[in-house]
Amino acid sequence: MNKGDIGILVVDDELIVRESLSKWFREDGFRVEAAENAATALRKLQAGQWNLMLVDIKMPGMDGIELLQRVRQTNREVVVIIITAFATVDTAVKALKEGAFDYITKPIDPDYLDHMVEKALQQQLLLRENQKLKDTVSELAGPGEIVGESPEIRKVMDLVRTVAPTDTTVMIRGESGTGKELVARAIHVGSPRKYFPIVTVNCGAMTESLLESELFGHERGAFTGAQYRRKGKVELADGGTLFLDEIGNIDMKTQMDLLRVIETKQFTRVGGTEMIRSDFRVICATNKDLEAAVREGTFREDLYYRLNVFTIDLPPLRGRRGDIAKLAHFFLERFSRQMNKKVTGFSPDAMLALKAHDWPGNVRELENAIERAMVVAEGEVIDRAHLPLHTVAAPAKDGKRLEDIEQRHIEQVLRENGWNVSRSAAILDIDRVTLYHKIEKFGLKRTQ
Amino acid sequence: MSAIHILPLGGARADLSAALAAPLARTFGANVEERAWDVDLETFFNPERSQYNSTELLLHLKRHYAPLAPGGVRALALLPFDLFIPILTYVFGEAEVGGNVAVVSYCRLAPDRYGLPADDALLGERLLKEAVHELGHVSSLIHCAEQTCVMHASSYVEDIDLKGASFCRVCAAELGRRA
Repeated sequence: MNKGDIGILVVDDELIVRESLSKWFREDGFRVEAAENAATALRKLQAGQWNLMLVDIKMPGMDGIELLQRVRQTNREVVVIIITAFATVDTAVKALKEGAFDYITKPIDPDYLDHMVEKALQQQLLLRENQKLKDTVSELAGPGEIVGESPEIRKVMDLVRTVAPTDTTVMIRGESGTGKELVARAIHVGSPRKYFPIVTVNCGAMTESLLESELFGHERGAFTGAQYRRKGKVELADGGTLFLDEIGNIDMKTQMDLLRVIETKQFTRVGGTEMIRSDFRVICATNKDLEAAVREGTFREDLYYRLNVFTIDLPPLRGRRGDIAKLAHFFLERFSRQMNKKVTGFSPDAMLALKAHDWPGNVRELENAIERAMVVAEGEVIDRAHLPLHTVAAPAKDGKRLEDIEQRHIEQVLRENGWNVSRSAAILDIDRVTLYHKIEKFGLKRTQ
Repeated sequence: MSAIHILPLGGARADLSAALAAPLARTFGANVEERAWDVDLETFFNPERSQYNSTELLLHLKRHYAPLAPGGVRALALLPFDLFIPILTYVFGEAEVGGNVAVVSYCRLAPDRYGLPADDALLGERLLKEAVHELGHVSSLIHCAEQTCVMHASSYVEDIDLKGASFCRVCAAELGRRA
């Protein structure tokens, strides 16, 4: 920032002080004005843009502390430095409590004054930048990713808005691919914890000991291969949100550890003795019937009740068919941008097929289908033939298994690419060896 | 050609005053002359601070010396005493920005003040930098962010030693424009 753009307001009842300080700062290139009393200062503050105020504590009428209080009622940004003739701890503490940046005693060491002003302006700049970044984060991380206008998804959004600003533990339930993590993120960014991290732990993807180390971290030498101390996800989530995905998959011992840390917000790293505190909010997600797991004794009842405080049930995509068109266009636009491909819409046939499909893999399956269609589409419109939708045409008895979908999808990609394995593997985003294994596994054969 | 009058006051050292003339003449393209001026400095003395009030001296200079001097003359008072402006603990000098008067003191510029061996060469160098700095203000220049420029603000002698005695390109251009 150009110094001429920085406004300094000197408030002192002594003319000589006003003139000296004004002159001093003008020589530095600042825009400076002076006020002989608090009332004039408040008028000037309202009329112009000021970065910094130097305020004498002792003035007839309204003194410097009262002026500071009044300024703070309407202006949080301007930095105030209090000038006092006598440095007493009382006045200094009072000034700082009321929001002054610092105080200086008369006469002022010129070097000290320059450094203090520089420091104060730097801090103000950092605060402004910080606020700007926060605004940007809020815009970028907003719940805009949750697409849909159906009553079902609106209900979900209402629940998200209700629970987000609180610190309540949330359990998100829904089939695979319904967007549980997206909802968890929406809750996080709607909460006061949004400037701290949301740390995701995929509980289903780890063995018992790995999950324990992942959650709580470990000390050096805690186990073979633990060469360095490592912070766990619980510790990393300090100030933010801990998102426990697939919570229904954790073993009994980790359930017990988790219950303890959720209740006490304290834990020790694996192989350590130091008690570590972490302030986090818990959001968990599951596609399992946890009540049944509690009945069967595979999930601790106390942990279940600790987690199941506020529940959000995500509807499967087939339960909100009204959103399919909107979601399809959302993904189409996103992949158009990512692939730099000009695809503008869907043919009527393609849209009909999308709406008629059952979507056992839910939104994730729709997303993948659109991505694949974008890859194979050559024109500006996605046609029915570009969509890997088989279940509508031939819903086999057990055709909803993920494996069945995978088999049909691979078969279709191979067919569309004339059984060119390299090209098909590239489209499927797997390597050729894996594709050969799959062809063998599913017994796929080229037909004329 | 414009003129600069150096006014040694309060028994300021003649050698230091004389040494300023040639470099100031070169820097500002002006005729530099030493002039005598009778003023009672005790008027500006503050016994509580044992310092001289530079702002009041500057005002006095403006009121009583400038009208007597021919138009366009810039006056630089040179003092051996410690100067202050009321809000600050001390100043090396003070100038009327865009005016025609300045004061500069070499009291805090001498190395022996800080327990170091006396060094007249260093003292003269520092004094020249401060004299050019204050006369730069008289020519409407403000402080410069460039650390080697003579218009860079200096609160300690160490700061003065870090900068040069000449203007950076930007300040030199600004000085030329204003001249």
